Amino acid sequence: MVSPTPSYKSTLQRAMSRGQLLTRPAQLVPYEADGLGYKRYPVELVAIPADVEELQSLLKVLKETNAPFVIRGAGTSLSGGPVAAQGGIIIHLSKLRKIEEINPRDRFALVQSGVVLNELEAALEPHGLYYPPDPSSGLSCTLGGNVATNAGGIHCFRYGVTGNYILGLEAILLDGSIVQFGGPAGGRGDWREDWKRLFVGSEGTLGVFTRFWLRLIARPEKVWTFRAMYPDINSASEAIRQLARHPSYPAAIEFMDPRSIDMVENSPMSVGLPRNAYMILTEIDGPPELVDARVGPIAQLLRNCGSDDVSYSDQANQRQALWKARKAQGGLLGQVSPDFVVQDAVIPKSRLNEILNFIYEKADAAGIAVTTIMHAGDGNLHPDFLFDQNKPGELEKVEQIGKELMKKVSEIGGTLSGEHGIGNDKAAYMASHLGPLGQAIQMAIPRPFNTRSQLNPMKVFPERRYA
Amino acid sequence: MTSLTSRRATDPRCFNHFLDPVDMIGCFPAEASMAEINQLAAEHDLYFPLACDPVRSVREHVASLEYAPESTRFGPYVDNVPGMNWKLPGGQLVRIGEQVVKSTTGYDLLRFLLHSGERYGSAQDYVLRLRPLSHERYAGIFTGTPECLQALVEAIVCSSWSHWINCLNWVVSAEDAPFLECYGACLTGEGGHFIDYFSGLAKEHHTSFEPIAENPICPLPAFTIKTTPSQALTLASQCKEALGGHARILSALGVVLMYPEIPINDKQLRELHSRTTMVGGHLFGTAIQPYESSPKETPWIESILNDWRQL
Ligand SMILES: Cc1cc2nc3c(=O)[nH]c(=O)nc-3n(C[C@H](O)[C@H](O)[C@H](O)COP(=O)(O)OP(=O)(O)OC[C@H]3O[C@@H](n4cnc5c(N)ncnc54)[C@H](O)[C@@H]3O)c2cc1C
Repeated sequence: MVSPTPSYKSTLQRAMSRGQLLTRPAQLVPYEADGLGYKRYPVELVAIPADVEELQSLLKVLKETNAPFVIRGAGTSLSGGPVAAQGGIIIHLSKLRKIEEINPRDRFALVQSGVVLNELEAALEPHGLYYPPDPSSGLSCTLGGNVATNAGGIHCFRYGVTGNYILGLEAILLDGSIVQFGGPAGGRGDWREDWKRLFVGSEGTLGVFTRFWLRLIARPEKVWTFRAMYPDINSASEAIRQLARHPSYPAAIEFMDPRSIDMVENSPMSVGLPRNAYMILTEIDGPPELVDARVGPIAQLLRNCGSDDVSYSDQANQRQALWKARKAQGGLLGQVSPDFVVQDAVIPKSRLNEILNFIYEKADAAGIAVTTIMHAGDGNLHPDFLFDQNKPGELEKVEQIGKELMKKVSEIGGTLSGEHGIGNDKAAYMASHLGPLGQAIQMAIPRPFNTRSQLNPMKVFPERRYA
Repeated sequence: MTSLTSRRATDPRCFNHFLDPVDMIGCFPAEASMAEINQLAAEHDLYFPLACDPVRSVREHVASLEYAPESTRFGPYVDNVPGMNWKLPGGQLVRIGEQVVKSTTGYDLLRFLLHSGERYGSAQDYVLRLRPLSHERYAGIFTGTPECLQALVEAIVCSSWSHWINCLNWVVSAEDAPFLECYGACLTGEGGHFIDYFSGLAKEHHTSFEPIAENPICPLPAFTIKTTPSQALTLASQCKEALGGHARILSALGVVLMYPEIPINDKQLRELHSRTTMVGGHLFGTAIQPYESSPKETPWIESILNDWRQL
């Protein structure tokens, strides 16, 4: 662990006259982990700059000191992204929360990076505008974290992920300069290269985002939600395949396995779902003239694939009821288990059955409980491993399963992460997934921006150590 | 290209040619024509929507276009090409991206490199995202005063119909007043709903709507302008005045496809450049030289290239 030089705190104080510096142990504890919870990294100090100007002064002094530092949005990452893996400072951007402009004519919003996703959503609604990326952490996650991880969500099968909606971004680089890549027009601006493409999804390793120009679209007018229960994985898989290829382009195709359903049904959130069943949730949306006529064919498709339990509705409260088990699943993990890991991988959809069996075999053999959900349209799988790190050997078993799962995912043509990013949780698997040449070309990217890996070290690639 | 072949590569992770109808994704040689790709895809009731000219290759499309007319519905090329086999400046072939449609594994080299010309190497094969074929199509033309047509465009892009319209283009040419073309594909039996919607809108906005039998042909442009939707029509009209020919504007996206009669000169280019970059836009295409790298980005580019040359 690298520690800041002793004079460092006073230097920071000089750069931050209006913001806050947190130094007391009780203040620092919440910053030791992200959404993964069980992995903790001590933090030396937390800086909360009051505005972009102060953030810029802060970055200038940080460069001259011996301190690794990490940017934090809301800390909801599930991959060990915003943690001080090599010690040092956390810069919390909770004060950069202004929605600066909503432009209905050119359909963009200009927002600061600390704006909370659901607050943006609430501000857009009266304008009839829609920003589709919808990670389930929307209540607290920030646009900065969303862009840094290229976050996805339930509706990205049709609407796409965060990166599809970034017209431009502003960032402060480690030399203290402010750069703007793109803007309301969504192009390159006055640059030869399209640098915003590299910065989206860069997991806080290239620069510090301050503002974004976000592309907006019209809100879907009418939505129908369908829930179908299947007796076996083959029929559920067939429903996923057929839905994904259906020309009504479902906005969402979600999957829950019987173990997830059991977890919900054994809890106070129970909705009376049959046990030993696989659940598919899907949504279609559009103007009523089109979407209403698609309801019959979609319900029939779900039945033809082997479900005799299909429910659907266009009423808000009933749609909520159909989603209830799926939405409850994430929150229950922390209630039923002292610790959990939410894995994130993308697989070719044709391999779902094989991968599920692989997960069950490994977890059962190790005596580790697992529940699996999936953004099924995209093949984006989230097996959630439940464990207790106070029980000797459990964490090691979960890590071993994770390692074997990632190897298997790579082998079958999938990828290590679909929406959570690599962080430090999966950095160790990058070499085998990318191979030596693939890794070498990737490692060239942070070099010009963050040469010594002072910003967010040990993330994405374990070799990115601050020395 | 009549069938998918297997290939050997420097990086064992490079993509083989394939077509996966379940994931609606396939890897094709960069020189494959759009017609060849769409013929293979059609066997599985799929298609690649960002094709303009069936006889031109994917490589030619990527060099000319970042947005095709159907980008209105399916997004730009960068969101429809999840992977590539890429030849580095030193000659090695390396895999970029994935053969699944969603990934946050590492830096997004794919989107950075896709339209970078030959500055960092070149694509040998592209992994393309395919979409379900719909067998019913609709197409039509709106005519009227520019103000009324503009109000009509706003009405469409602000409604959820916009998610279901493949193309909504302004056509600006010397012969005619600007008009709008609108076309797409829909589920069997839905074509009538689109025509009713367009006819109703036309009446509401004091314009006319005329259904047409075929989608208009949209060849590869000489260059494209990426700007804001509100600036696109003015820029396109001014370019057409100065250069002749015609322009198509993807109205929802602020993309202008230019088909000039005479080449754009340096002065015109500089002026257009400054007006588009001011709003974070740019110019692109085979008729446009890549911009000079700015002093700020030159060392970044050199650092990346130096590292890659040493591999
Ligand atoms: C209950 C729950 C549900 C979730 N559901 C989803 C989901 O459906 N889809 C999904 O994609 N993810 C999901 N996540 C993961 C996570 O919420 C998202 O990845 C989110 O985008 C992180 O945002 P954040 O503000 O919390 O960022 P943080 O966790 O604080 O940071 C994430 C990364 O972004 C970097 N970063 C943050 N702000 C900036 C900035 N301004 N400049 C540069 N770098 C920055 C950090 O350094 C870090 O590397 C979920 C998490 C939870 C806890």
